[in-house]
Amino acid sequence: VADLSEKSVILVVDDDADSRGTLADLLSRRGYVVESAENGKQAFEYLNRSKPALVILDLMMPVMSGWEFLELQQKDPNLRGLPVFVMTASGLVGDIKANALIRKPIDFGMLMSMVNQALEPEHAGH
Amino acid sequence: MSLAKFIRTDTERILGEWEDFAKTLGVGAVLPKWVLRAHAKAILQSIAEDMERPQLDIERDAKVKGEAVHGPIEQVAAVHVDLRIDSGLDLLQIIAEYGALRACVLHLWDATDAEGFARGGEEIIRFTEAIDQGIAESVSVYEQRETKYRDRFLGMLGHDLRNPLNSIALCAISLAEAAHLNEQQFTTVSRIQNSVRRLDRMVGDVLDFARGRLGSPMPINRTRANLGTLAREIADEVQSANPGFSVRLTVSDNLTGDWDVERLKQLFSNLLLNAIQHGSGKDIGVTVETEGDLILIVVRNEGRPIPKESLGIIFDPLVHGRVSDQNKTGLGLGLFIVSEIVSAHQGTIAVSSSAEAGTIFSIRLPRHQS
Repeated sequence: VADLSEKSVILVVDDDADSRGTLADLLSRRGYVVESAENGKQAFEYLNRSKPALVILDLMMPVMSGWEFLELQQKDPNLRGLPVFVMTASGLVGDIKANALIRKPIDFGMLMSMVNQALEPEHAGH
Repeated sequence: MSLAKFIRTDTERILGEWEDFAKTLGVGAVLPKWVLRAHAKAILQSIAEDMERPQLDIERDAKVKGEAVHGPIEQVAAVHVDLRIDSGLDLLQIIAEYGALRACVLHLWDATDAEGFARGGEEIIRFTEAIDQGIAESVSVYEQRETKYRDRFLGMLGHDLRNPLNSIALCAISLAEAAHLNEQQFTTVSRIQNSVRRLDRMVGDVLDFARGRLGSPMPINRTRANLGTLAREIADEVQSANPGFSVRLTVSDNLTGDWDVERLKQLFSNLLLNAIQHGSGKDIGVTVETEGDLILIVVRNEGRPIPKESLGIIFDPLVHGRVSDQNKTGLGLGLFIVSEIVSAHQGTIAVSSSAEAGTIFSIRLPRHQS
C-alpha cells in the first residue's frame, strides 16, 4: 500500500455537489488525494492552509467565481505557478489564464491523461 | 413665441400633461411621480437647447441619413432609457413616452400661441427630429442591453443544463468501474453515456439556434489550423461510428488558415451526419481544396434529389416540420448551425441536388478574418 503522504493532492472546486463528489471519488480511486471546495472563496481558504499539486476549477460559481479566483491567483506570487485546469459548462469563457480548459460534460479519459501528464513526476503509478 | 422658448417657459405644464399620459402606460401607472418625471425635464431642456442653436448642414445630413450622433439629446436619452428599462418599461412603452412628449408639446404650444404654432413649420421639423434622435438613442441602448441579457441568459441556460449532464456522465463512469458488472449492466451504462453525448450535442444545438434566432452572432475563436487535418479527424470519427457507409475524403495541400477549430469540426460532423441520415446511397464524398484565395469544401451524397421548393429553406432551422421526409429525426438544426458557422467565418454555402449528380453542399471559406 502506497504511503498517502506521497500522493498528489488535487483540489476540486465546483458548486455542483454531485459533479464535485463524483469527480472526487473517481480521482481518489486513481490514488490521488482529493480536497473539495464549493467556490473560489473556499478554495482560497484551503490554499491559505495548504498547497495542492493541481486545482480543477469550475468557472460559474456563486460567492467567488472561477474567473475571480484566477484573477486573484495571478496577483498572488505564491500561487501564480499553481497549475489550474478550468472546467466549464458555459460556451463562452473569455480570455482566461489556465493550464487547460475542459468542457462539461467532462471527457474523463482526456481529463485523466492531462492530469497524469501534469503530475507525472510526483505521482507514482495509476 | 418660439417653440424652444415655449418649451423652456412652460416645462412644468408640459410635464404635467405628459405625466398623465405616462401613468396610463402599464407599469407607468404604478411608478412614483419623481420616477416618471426623472429625465423628462432634462430631455425637454436638451431639445430646447438644440433648437436654439443653428444647425450645421453636416448635422442635418447626418440626421436625414440616420447616422449616429452623440450630442446632449442622446446623452440625456441614454440615461432616461436606462432608468426606464430598470423600471420595467419595454421598448414600445419607451417610444410611446416620446410620442406623448411630442404630442403634449405641440398640442400645448398650439393652445397657448396659435399664431406661433401656425408659422412654426421649420421649428416643428427641428423639434420632431430631436424627438426622433431621442427615440433612436433609446432603441440603440435598449438593443445593447437586450443583447447583454440575452447572452447572459443563454450562458446560464447552457450552464444549468450541462452541469447535471456532467454529473450523469461522471456517475456512469463510476458505475462502469464498479466491480462485477455483467454484460447487460455494462450495456446499460454505455447507453447512459451515449445518451449523455446526444443530449450534450442537443443542448449545444438548441443554444446555437436560440443565439441565432435572437440575433446574436456566433462567437468565433480563431486559431491557426489545417482544414484537411480537421476534415480527416471528423471523417474517421464518423466513418467508425457508421461502418455501413463509406466516407471518401480527398484533401489538397496548403489548407492552413485561421478558423474556430471546434466549430469547423462541428461543420464537418453535421454535414456528414446529414448525408448519412438523408442520402439513400452508401458513398459520401468529401473534398477540401483551395480555390483562389478561398478554401472550397464539397460534401456529396447520392440519393433521392431534394425537391426544388425544399432547397430554398434547407438551412432554415426546424425545417423538418415543413418538409416531408420519413428519414428525418431530431430537431433539424444541423444544417442551420452549419450555415451559422459558415457565416461567422465570413464564408458562403450553396446546395444543389439532382438525380444524376446527387446532393452537393459547397462551402467557400476565406482563410483569415477580413
